[in-house]
Amino acid sequence: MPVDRSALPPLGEPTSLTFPVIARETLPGGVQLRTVDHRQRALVSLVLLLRSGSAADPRGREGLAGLTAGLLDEGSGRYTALALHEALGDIGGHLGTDVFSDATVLSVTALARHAADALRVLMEVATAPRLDADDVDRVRALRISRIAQLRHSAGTVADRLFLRALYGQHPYGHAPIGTESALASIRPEDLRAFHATHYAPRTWTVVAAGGGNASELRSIVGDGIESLPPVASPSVGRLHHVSPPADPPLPPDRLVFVPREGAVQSELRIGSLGVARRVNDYEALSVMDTVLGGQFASRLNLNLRQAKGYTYGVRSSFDARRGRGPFVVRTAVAAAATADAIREVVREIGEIRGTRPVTDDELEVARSALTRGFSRSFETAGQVARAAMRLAVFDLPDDEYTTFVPRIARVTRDAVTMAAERHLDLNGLVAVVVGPPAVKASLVDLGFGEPVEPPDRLTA
Amino acid sequence: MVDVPHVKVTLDNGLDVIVHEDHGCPIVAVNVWYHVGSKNERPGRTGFAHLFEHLMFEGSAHHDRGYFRPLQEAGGALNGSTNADRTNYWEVVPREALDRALWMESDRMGYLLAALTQAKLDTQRDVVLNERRQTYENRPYGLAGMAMMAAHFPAPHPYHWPTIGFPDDIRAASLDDVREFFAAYYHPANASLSIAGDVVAKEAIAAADEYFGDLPRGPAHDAVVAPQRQGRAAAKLRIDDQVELPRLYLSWPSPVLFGDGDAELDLVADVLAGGKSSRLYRALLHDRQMATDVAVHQGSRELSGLFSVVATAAPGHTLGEIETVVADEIARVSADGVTDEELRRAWRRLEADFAWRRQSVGGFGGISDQLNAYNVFAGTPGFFAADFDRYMRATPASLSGAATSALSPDTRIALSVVPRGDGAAALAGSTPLEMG
Repeated sequence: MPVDRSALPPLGEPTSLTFPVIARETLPGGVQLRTVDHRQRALVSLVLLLRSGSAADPRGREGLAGLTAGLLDEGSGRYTALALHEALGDIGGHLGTDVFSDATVLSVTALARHAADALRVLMEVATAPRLDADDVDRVRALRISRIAQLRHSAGTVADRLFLRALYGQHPYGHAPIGTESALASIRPEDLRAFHATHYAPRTWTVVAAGGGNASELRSIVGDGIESLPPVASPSVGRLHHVSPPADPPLPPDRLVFVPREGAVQSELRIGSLGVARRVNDYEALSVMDTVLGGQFASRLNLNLRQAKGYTYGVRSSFDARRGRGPFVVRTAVAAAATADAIREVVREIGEIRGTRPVTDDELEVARSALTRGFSRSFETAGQVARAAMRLAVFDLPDDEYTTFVPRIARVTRDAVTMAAERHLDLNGLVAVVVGPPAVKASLVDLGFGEPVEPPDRLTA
Repeated sequence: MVDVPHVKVTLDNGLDVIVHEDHGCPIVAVNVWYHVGSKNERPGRTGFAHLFEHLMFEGSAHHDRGYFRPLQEAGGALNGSTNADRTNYWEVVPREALDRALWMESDRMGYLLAALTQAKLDTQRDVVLNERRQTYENRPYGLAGMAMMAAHFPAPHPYHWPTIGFPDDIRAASLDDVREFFAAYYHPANASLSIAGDVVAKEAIAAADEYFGDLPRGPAHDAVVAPQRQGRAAAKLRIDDQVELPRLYLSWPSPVLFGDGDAELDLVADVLAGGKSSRLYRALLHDRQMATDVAVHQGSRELSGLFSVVATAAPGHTLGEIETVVADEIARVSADGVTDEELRRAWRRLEADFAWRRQSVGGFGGISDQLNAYNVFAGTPGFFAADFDRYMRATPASLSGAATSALSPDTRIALSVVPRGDGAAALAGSTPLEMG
């Protein structure tokens, strides 16, 4: 029987996701342990969350959280750097040390039969980094070289300058890698002090998933953590209630231009101060962003890529943090299209706030994309472990994931437009352009004022 | 434990259908491979296979309103990619949207051309030119990869040109080119469909037959044959780029995918630069601190492989110093092989890597993509265990043998990418390349 091609097959009833059970307990010493039941048998994922990241860098020591994390695997406790990485090789292990603005995430993924060894490695690097002066100098030099190299990556320069333009000296104003001058000033005692304050076990949330048997994994991880020697650490009063940073003042410069000789494209970042993760209309905002620029078939991408061919792609996003994170539209466009592309982005942002509000059809597609697509985010043990971790990062309720779908399904058109009005601040928009010198003249009448060239790019 | 259970049937029109059941998460992956890539292009139309891939997302006869919307509405993720040997397309959707994904894939396999217009071609040509700028031209070191391939595989070898193509060729592409290409390569007999996830195999095969079964088989085409190598001598080349630090690319032609020595060279690459206990990481970054990064890769494809070592000079150090250390280490592996401990760790990492690759049913590199890769390149989707075995059969002596035979100074191309105005940072005697 030939297929009916007169209409798309309708979608069946949405499948509801049964989120894996997360077992929670507080170990003696205050460690929060989460064990997730997941069918993944061959591998285990162990994640250790510290609720301090680059936003905890002291002024003038930008990059301290990142450098501390970067030194964990350069010698720890009983291991030299070489021995540590050989031990990882022996268990098919991969160690991750990722620093975000509000969190540092240490993780080990390894063959499940070596789960106990994987935990031992994780505990060693978290509790006993050697922070030897030679290693500090070596890793610092690598990071300073990296910063120098990134000067030539137009996209990275644009990302950095956007954060700096939006946040200035605010804790969210710099990338975790920091700046060359701040890195150069960091002393081993700064690293030791940062580690003592921010890596104390009673601030940890540990999530373990995989291996096929949650109770066995729970006892391996629980026993391993409980057998840690007590750590003398300075008292930190705000342990599980770290305050988010306050809002930054309005940025003085609204249009930053970096001339790049010979560039064939302009990297663009356009955005404003966004939201904290616990904002009360997060669901309506998610729907709004999906329509605006959160997926391929969004207003921005259909306009700038599919209708006009200015770019390979354009996306918008709200980076919702503990404090108010950035809202940003990111794209790279053909140099000749620079000013027109900025105009179109600003126009789309303005229109979704009211002159061309989200339609019923757009609302339906976006809600459906978010609700029906939800289960894709919980396929692997690593995804589930990180989802459990995010609850701790943002102090979200235990039932966050089970109530997500109905909360999105209840979002109305009015709520979406209100979220757009509330969270897209046309007067607070900041634009960064990294492109060929010739495009500068075209940027003067975009409504952002005169383009300002930053005095430096190295520390951007 | 390495195997991935699956069922394979070939429909009457030649389409291979492979199904893997996994009921752990209520999603299903659809993955289609067409056995065509930039190696099937002709000079003057380079970049065409990839430009064509873009047009596959622009609508087909019965749904001419963009490919993304109906699948994103269904909660799906989707994408496609092109390389020298193949083009792949995938969707990951909740299980209730399987029919829709199969409908969409089959409509563009059967009925793309009726929806094709000059306007779509013009726009996607601009999009692709912007992709080229963003990914290669405007990115530090972005042109090195294509320069290495061009140098190793002189025209008319089909690996001579980059998959993204040359800008003038991309601009020259016409609607007639699109029609010819579709007729030659986009049909069931040149494709492989895999479905993995929360499905019942029998039902999925029936659904595949329903949507794809009545599409015409399409013509056979001759496999591309690599021209005989011309015994090319080693070379030293140089690119001046907008970069901070000089970077050295050493590369050798190497065994084809699944060929003799291919697995061994993967293991050699791991011993040399897999993790911070690897030989080159220790020598270059830890002990002598003369490099800021090092990566080694055996990139094997259908017509040839390319083994490469890439390292960036730390401030105050030269590419010449790095070249000496790398050459010494490769000579050591060639002469003495590796230690039992090194091989054991490489195997453990490999085992973890195989497990890692079995975690996701869809997307690039997911189970459905691997089933198609094995089906297209090894002739059977059930090649997981045999693939794993290639590595487990390796010995320190076979690693030494593979390194000796592939990594000879006589076939090595050394490419220096140096900051503009600092040509002296290249290896001595390097010939400058003009990268347009």
